[in-house]
Amino acid sequence: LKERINPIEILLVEDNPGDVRLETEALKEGKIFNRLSVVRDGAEAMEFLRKKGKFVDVETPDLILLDLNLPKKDGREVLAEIKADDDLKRIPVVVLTTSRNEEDVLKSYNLHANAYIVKPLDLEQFINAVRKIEDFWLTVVRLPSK
Amino acid sequence: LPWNASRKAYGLYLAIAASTVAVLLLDLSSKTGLAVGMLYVIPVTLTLWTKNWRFPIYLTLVLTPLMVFGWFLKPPGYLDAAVVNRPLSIVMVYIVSFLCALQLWAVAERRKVEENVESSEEKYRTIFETLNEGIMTSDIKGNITLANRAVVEMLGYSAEKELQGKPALQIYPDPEIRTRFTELLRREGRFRNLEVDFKKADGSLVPVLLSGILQKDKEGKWAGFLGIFRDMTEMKKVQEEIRKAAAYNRSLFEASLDPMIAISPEGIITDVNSAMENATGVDRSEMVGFPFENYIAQKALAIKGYQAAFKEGSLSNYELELLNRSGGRTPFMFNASVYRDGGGEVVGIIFTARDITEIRSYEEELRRHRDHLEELVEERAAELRMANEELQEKTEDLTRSNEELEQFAYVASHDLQEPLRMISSYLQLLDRRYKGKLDKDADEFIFYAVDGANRLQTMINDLLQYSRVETRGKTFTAVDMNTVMGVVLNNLKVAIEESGGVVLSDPLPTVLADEAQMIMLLQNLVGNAIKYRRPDEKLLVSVSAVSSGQEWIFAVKDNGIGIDPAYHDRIFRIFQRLNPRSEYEGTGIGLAIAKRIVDRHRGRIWLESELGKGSTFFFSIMKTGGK
Repeated sequence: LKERINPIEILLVEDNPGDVRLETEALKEGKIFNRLSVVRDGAEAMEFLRKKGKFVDVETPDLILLDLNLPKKDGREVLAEIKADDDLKRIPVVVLTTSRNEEDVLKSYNLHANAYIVKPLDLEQFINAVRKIEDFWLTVVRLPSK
Repeated sequence: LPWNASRKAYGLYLAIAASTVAVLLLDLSSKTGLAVGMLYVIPVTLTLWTKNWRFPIYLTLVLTPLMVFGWFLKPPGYLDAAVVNRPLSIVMVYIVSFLCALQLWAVAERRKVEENVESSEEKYRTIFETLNEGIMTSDIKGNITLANRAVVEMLGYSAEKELQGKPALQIYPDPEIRTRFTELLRREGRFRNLEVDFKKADGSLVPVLLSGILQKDKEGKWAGFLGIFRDMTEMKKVQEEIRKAAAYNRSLFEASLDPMIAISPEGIITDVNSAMENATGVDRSEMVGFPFENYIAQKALAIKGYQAAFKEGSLSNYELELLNRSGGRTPFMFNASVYRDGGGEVVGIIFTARDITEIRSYEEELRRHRDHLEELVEERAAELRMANEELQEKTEDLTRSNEELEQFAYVASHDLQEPLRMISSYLQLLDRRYKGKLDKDADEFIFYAVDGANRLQTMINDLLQYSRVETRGKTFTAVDMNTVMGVVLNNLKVAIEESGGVVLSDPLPTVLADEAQMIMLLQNLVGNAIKYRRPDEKLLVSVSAVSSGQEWIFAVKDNGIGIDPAYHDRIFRIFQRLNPRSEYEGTGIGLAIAKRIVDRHRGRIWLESELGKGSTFFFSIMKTGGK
């Protein structure tokens, strides 16, 4: 971990500011040096990933936290587009949503989501879950180098 | 020769032949000249007994060559004498032969005449005797001279002799009658077909039809009477039968309660009965001889009716209105059939008419009833239709409101989660960051806010679960309740251990149900039993099931705190609690969900319990799965 010079880039696709703040707080308490970028809808997320418009200078994220219910372009479409894009499909996408719907779970994995996590209702559990995501995807697994 | 002749005839023919041969031999043995040829007269004379006039002639024709032959064989010494003698003999023989033939012919002719007379007499005698009519003659003195077999039989005698020569008076029951007849005959010469009774041999009477003729002798003087008569006994019987039959028919005709009318092929009334007189109020003498249609309201229809009857041979159920004297009309049903004479020729129609006024009124009434009934049925049907529509509307409303309710419950609980999560999370964050950093009041406020948010979250979860009983229900399958019980015991393992109690289960049946919901149901009930146990007594829960008709009734019995009967209904309502939250946890959704599950399975749920005496919860599940 110390070998890393640059901070870990995380993209959070979430329209609910409350959740954004909660996730930010949770990540703040984490041990990993990270940089969190937040976009509020699906269209913006794709622009971010493809470095278009105002996102020309952004870094390609190491992990994407994706909510399913988003304005304009919803999470499912975003997921499908990412996994269909040769440049983006290797980025791990963790679906983070309130939906317990079995259909959403199935659909997400069919679209090659890397993980599906239901937002825990309890704050403690929520923070715990975010930390575990961070820990697992950014330290435990080995991802291809960019 | 007739070979089949009698012996007597043979003798005769033999004698003729013998005498012929004898004369021939004599002729041959003596010189001609002697008048031997004359002897041939003998066989010729013998033919008189043959009774055949041709025979002497045939014989003579045979004898002629013999006589000539005899003459040539013994030429006479005296030619002249012989020349005279022999032809004379031949002539003599021929004369005798001719006379014989004549005689025989005359006899035969006379015989023929006699036979004719005899046969004629025989014929008349036969006729006389075989005639079925009695023939009797009496002479001038009044004695019977002749009586044929028919007379004998008719009057009961055994032989003609018993009548012959007896006074004719004896066959008359009254001498006056005979006197009248004889006077009639003497005056008129004959009479015909007079009915009279004759007295029979045994004294009884026999009715006869008598004709008489006065008999006269050759001088035209009165010689006697001839009477011909016929036995009328059978005829009288037949006449009586006919009379009776006619009377019978007439009484039948008259006894009929239905009017009867006979008409001729021209439509003229020939007979009516008294019922017809009553129906029309017209005397039969005024009806007979008048056209049938005069008494019918629908004239053309009446004519058409009887024409059809003559054509078809009968007419059935033909409705016409009979007119009565005062012009009133009565509906009648007419039936008719033709009647024929002895030769099969149609001579008229007999109508029978039935008053259908009453039937008409019954029919009318029936129709009225039927119409009324139809109206009623129509009304009821309309009502029913309306009720049905209403019901359907209500059902639709209910379904809609149910769906809306479910939708509402689901959406509410689901969508409420988001903001609640925010409230809850940030309250917790507040708690986490600032607990002990603000004042004591702030900490308490934060505690209640967090507690309220948590409870609200639980309730929303419960509500979601409650609404999911319908929205997330699975189709029914065969569920072994023993397995269900196993899962429940496993789920409640920790709670049971903590309580230190025992949960027992009888063998349970297999039912058609939603397995997940059965687990939830039993778990709720058993869980409640554990939760509301009495602290001073060891917990004992027993689960059992009994078959009851179409359903299984399950029972979950405990020895817990029990429930006041006043609240038995309330406990199945959502979020209803009987105990303070501080003593027993929970939102009060468990029994509401249990009831909803049982309802979904078309079953019932109820309990028997008293405060402090434990509770038994029952629920029923249809064996057919509530379908």
